[in-house]
Formats: sequence, structure tokens, C-alpha cells
Amino acid sequence: MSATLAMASAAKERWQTAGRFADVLEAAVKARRSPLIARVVTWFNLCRLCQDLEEQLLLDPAPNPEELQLHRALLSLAIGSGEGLLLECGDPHLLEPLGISAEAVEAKIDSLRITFTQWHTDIDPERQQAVLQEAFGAAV
Amino acid sequence: MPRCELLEAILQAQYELETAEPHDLPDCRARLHARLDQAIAGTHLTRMELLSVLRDRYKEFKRAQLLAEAR
Repeated sequence: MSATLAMASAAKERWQTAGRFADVLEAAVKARRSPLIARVVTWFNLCRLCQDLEEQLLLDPAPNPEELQLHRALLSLAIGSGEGLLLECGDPHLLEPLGISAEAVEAKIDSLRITFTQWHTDIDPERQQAVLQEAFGAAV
Repeated sequence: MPRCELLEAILQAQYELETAEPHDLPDCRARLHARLDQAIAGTHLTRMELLSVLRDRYKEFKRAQLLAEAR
């Protein structure tokens, strides 16, 4: 096997492993038999996994469509499961043992949504330039 | 704040939000919102619309941050 093919195969395996790990984390986030704070910690780990994959995409000069699709799927998963946790965070003191409030979960979901929009939605280049001009004028 | 500095401040604030520890997230989000609101004041743009059009610049910014951290 050539070095290039071996690298591609290793990268594919890494992504597949990440996908399987994300499935395990998501199942743990949804496991209501576990305490909410444990599930919130697991959810933050799921978010961290999404972020690691995004960093790999950023540093890869030509990410392949499968990797982008997995990134999109994991982001959707993290946003959805975070929303689910938020519904259970009615009591403002529930997350106090972690030193956070539900607002931290909400802020992380917002951050994931921004990432989703920037990576996985279409944009019209003309509109993009017009908005940049409107907001920043001659600076762009 | 000059407009070019404001743009840089938005990219920095988004990066800080993405990489924040859980207990810092609400403050980081508030800082990003403040910068975005400054940029869209007097326009009909939304925060998300502005962030959406900054996608390419943000990716460049983040790539540079990651490479600098790896050195």
C-alpha cells in the first residue's frame, strides 16, 4: 500500500472511530437513569469531540465529503441532545455542583449553531460581500 | 472602535466562545453578542447573518490560531 493510501485509510479509520465514540456519548447523554450532572459532563465531551473533528477539517487541505457529512451529523446530534438536556435543567441549582448554570449549556448550544451555520449552510457570495460591506464598510 | 478592529474583535470573541471552559461560556457569549451588536447597529442585519458571512474569515482566523498553538 502506498504511503498516501495508508494515510487516507488511517484518517478514515480515525473518523469512523470518532463516529462510534460519538454514538456512545450520545447514548450516555440520553440515559435518564444517570444523574443529570453526569450527562451534562458527557455532553460537553461530545461537544469537545465535534470541536476536535472540526480542527482536523480545518487543517486538512482537502477534507472529503464523508468527513464533512460526519461533522454535520455530529453537530446536529450535539445540538439536539443539548436541547434535550436544557429541557431537564428547570431547577436553576441542578448544575451548581459543576460550577455552572443552564446558561452555560445554552451558550454552548449557540456556539455549536454558529459552527453549523458557518460550515454546513449555503451562502450567496454576492450577498456575503454586501453584508460585509454593510457591517464593516471600507474595512473589508 | 475602528471597523477593521471590530471585525478582528468579533473573530476573537467567537474563538473564545468556542474554546471556553463551561463556567466561562455565558460571559464569552455576552462578549460576542456585544461585538456583533456594535457591528450591526443601524443596519437590518442579524447576529447570525453576520456570523454566517464571516465563515471564511473565521476559518482562516481559527486555522492560524491552531497552527500558532501547535508551534
